[in-house]
Amino acid sequence: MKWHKIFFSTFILVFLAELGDKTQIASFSIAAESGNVLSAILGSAAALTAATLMAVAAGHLIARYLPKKVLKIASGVLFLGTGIFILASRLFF
Amino acid sequence: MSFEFSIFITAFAVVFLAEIGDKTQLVAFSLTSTSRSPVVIFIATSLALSLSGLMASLLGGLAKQILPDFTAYIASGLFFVFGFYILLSKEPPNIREWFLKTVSFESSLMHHLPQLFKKYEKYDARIIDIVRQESSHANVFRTLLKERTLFKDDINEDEQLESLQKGLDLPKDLMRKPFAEAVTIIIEKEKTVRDIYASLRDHLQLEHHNEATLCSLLGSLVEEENTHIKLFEQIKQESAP
Repeated sequence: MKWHKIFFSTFILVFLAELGDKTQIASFSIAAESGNVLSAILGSAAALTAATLMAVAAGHLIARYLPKKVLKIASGVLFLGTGIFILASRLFF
Repeated sequence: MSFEFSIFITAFAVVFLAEIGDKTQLVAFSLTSTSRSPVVIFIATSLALSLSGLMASLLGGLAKQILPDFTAYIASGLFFVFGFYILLSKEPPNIREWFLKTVSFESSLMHHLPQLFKKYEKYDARIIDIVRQESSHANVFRTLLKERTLFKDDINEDEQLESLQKGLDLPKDLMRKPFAEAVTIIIEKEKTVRDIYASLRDHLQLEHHNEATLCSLLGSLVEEENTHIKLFEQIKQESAP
């Protein structure tokens, strides 16, 4: 895949998945409670970047040690599972 | 508004802990493990998350209320699409598989050329030379593939190579074709294999700087295929009425 395809598909996927998620609610509560929006923005942005860095580093590392086929099936199943999870939590909770 | 370190740390700790093992982290993790572009995925995920954090901090709980009801459906739909895409996508061939393809092509050419040219009584020294060269190509690559464990990496994002993926196999009824047509087919295939050698050489030059010997070998193969193509074109013209 070309880099811009990877970039935009990752961006849209993550952005939509995060809307209304617990992290957004946490950022909101901290911003509202403290009244200091700037610090809340920077804090949550830094935390999200750090969490992403960890995930990407781990994904990159594990790709060296596990066969591609295993990773492919695991990732595919993980994505389908997440889709089901999001759908179920919207429908039933 | 001033920056307050304690609020920054609170936001950081809460959000960081909430994100560990969360779906987004799993997304980033699995996307990176199946793709070769960790940096792009890192930047895209961080930007998406930062923007959603920014929106939440600015709009607060409004985010959840003003958001249309269907974002969850779109999100889960996208996850399904990605899941099926990953599961159903075909693995691109790696360098080793490309070499195997060219070896099998050279071998089948070696096998067919004498038969074809003998059938039309045009089996001369030039053809014997070509067959000898094609068989030495095949042998060189066979030895290389036995010796090396390298070349396990994929060649993604190489449109030139992808377009060459089909079209190396000789047609099954090659021997039954009229002479001029058979030679035309062989010329086409020789051009394809030449382009594959050229693309592989370019790829190795870009990504494997320690493969200078192999690069120059591939370069000389390109030259050799070029002389073969010229020869075949000459033979085709000679036989034209």
